[in-house]
Amino acid sequence: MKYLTKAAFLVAGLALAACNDTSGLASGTNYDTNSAITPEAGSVEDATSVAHFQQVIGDRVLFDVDQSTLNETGRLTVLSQSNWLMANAEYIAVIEGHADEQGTREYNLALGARRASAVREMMISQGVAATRLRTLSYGKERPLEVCSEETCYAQNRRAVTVLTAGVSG
Amino acid sequence: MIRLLATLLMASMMLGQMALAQNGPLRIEITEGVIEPLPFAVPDFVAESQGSNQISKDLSRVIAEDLSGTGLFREIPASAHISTITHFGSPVQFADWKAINAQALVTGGVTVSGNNLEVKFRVWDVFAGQELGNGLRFKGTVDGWRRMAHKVADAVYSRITGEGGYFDSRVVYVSETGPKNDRKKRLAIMDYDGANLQYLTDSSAIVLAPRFSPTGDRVLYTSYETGFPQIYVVDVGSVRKKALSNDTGSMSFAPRFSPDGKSVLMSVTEGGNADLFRMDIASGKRQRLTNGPSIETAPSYSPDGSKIVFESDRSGTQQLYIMGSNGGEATRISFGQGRYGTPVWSPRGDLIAFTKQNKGRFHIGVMRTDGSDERLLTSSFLDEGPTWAPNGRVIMFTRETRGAEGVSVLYSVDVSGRNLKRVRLNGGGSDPSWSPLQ
Amino acid sequence: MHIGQYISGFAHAGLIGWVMFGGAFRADPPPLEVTGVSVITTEEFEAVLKAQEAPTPSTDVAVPVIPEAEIETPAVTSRADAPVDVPTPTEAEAGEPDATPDLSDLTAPEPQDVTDEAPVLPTPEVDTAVVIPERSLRPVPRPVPRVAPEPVAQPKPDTTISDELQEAIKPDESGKAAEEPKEETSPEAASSEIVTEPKEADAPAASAAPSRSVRPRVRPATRPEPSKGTDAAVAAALAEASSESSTPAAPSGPPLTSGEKDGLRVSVQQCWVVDVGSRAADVTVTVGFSLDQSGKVQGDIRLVNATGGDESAVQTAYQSARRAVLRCQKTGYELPIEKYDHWRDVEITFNPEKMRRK
Repeated sequence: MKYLTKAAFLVAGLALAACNDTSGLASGTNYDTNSAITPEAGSVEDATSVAHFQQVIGDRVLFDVDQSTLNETGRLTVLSQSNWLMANAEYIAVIEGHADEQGTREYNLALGARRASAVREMMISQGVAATRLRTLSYGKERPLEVCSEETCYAQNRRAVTVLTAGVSG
Repeated sequence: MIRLLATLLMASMMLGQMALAQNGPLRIEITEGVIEPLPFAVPDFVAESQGSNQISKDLSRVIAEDLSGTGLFREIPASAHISTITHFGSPVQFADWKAINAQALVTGGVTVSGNNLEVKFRVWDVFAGQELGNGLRFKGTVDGWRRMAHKVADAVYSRITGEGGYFDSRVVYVSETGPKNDRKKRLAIMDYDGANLQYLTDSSAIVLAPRFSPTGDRVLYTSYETGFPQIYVVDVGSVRKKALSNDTGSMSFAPRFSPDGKSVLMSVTEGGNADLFRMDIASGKRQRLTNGPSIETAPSYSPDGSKIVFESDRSGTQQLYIMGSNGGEATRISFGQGRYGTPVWSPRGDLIAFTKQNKGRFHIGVMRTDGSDERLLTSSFLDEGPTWAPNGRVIMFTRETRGAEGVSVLYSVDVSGRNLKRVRLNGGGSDPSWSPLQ
Repeated sequence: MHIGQYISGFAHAGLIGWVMFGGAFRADPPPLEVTGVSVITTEEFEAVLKAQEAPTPSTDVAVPVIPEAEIETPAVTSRADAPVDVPTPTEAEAGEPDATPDLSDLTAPEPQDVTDEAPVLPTPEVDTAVVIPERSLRPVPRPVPRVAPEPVAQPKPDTTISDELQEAIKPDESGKAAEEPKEETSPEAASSEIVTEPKEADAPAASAAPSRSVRPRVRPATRPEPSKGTDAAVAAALAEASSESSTPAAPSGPPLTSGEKDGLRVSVQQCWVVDVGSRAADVTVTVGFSLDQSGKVQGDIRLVNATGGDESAVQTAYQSARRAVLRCQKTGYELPIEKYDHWRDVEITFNPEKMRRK
């Protein structure tokens, strides 16, 4: 099942890349930068770019109320994140955990930490080196959405994987 | 003959009744009184030196506001006074004060010489016609006139209520500006009544939950200036700060001083799990107090330092627990519906204040230290983070309003649930911590 | 023989009849009167009590600091929440900036009271100036306009009844100015104003019965004459007896009814301010004091007993209790003068337990 998913994602990724590239060709091979066929380094199409990670793979997972365990969608996202990280060993990641405002300050800090940790644990179990991953919690201090409704709260209960170029290892 | 009989009969009956009448005092029990502010009067203190007129008036106003602000006293304004106090030593015309129903009277005198300020005062129980306690005299500098006024108010409060006051105190809190998704936070310190505001940090990094030391000279807080939440201590006088923890592998937050000021309780997250630790400030050594997969945070010492109350979700939801100050077995004390957090032990040692969440509402509440007598004092969209006044009678907390335009401000309430009111602030504020009496 | 029997029978019947309806019950008419009085009073007092109980001690929020503050009504948590109380009433009341309704309630009962009979102020028998010291008017219920030796006697009886007209008391109070200087110079005496005269007045009163010369007139005015009936000689004896029993100075009639006791209780409690958040609210305190015949406190109010709390809390509770008694006496507590001996010494226990709201 895992392999199928991985394959599916790879194909999907390629297909997407194909769509974006007017030249119709996209792969990991390098072309000289003048060619319109090559995905620009750093662009979304570049599967090794951060932009790609953020927008294609998805840099965040959302959590249910009071939950710090990954739901099904979350697991899939973290899977691809893990794969990406393993394929791009020059990056390290800080996983930021957040909570919605429906709780007290300290507890939300701890809850955010738990969420970040849940992501990290799964990545490690997928084979990402633990030393490349740090966790950080913002509790309820950095909401994305500011309305006081579940629609906003759902967006705020998140763990975001933030990449930085770092010493690999 | 009949007359004789009659007289004898009557006499015996009279005697009988006299005997009956002699059966001790009339005893009654009163179980219902009234709860109302005690009316008092503070005529302007007498200016006893040149140029002390204005400061006398200002002093009297601050004293009156301190007392009125508690909700336990109600000032009878000068316009209603019948007699005036023109000399500090003159006999008090109690009838005049009784006539306007002032039950307590504060008289005072002020002397200014150069930069020195001297304030003396007396408190009178009008209906008993006598002084309450002895007069007092304070000496200080002119710049410190507000503190003197607070000290006088504390003495008046204490004479009438029999308890310590809380007016000569400060509050440190997080001053907030900006929209909800881009809040700028910085540490601020002010007199409890909002005067003398001063900033302790800039707003370049998120700061959270500052806490006073037992002597009021230092403040612990959590800051993101390294990118990760770490604990700092700042000296209030010099505004110099120092990092207490700098462990890159973990996050530290929710710090609190021990009553002897020598160690710091904190919550540390390692591997996603928050546990309680105690750190000795001098040596920097850390001691683990809890060890479990659940979240343990928001610890608070009892005033004698022997116990710690904290919140934990080991039962599945956030609840309050008490354990010895060296860790070990913890006893749960919260059992109502809903979730309990941010417990704070009262300086009087008799109550624990907390935040409770239930059915989408937040409440500030108090309970006895065994968990009994739970009472909720407030209810709103979001109340949290209570802190106690030094005399254990008043609680200050954060109240946030809902929606995109929501702001956080500070409120205070009496431990009886009365006198809920907003604290005067410039802009928004959160996470207040009340200093001890200075 | 028959005549003898008849006479004997008649005499016996007469004796029996007299015993039954004459002497034996002569002592009772006073109680009858009193009962009559108290019936009216009781109803009123009960009405007052009901009215009194309806509003829980209202909270007078004198500080309207925050117009923008929402009125807090702590949510009523669900039943399962055993230990949690519902402080809503406080919060709701805290929102009202108005003065306590309690006070106004109490003014009702006082006016009517029995004594329409009384207004006849027959006599400034003022040889007893000593006995009827201070007090300017005892408002309505008191049959006597105390003729006080002092200049004070400004007859504004009605105004003194209600609390909210306290400002109106000024004339009375200021009239008392003459007395005040005493207080000022003797700082430690509680209610020093009262100390001096009542104490003197009390002495003769203590000698009780024989002093009928002092009081008697007062009585007859209130007691419609039933006592003076029937047998002249008996009547004379009875008159003596009844006036004695009715004399305030003398050991008086039957004990106070519960309505009368309640009257005193209600009078005092409206001046008893309880600070429910303080440690003094854990203290039950008993204070003792004496009243002169006009119902005013004479001498000190002393601490008789206290339970709960530490010393400072006890002191505070004692001072509150003392203030309550002193503040609410106004021109004197309303108590039936004919039962004076039953209420000359009073002990009141102030127990704030019910007010602590858990």
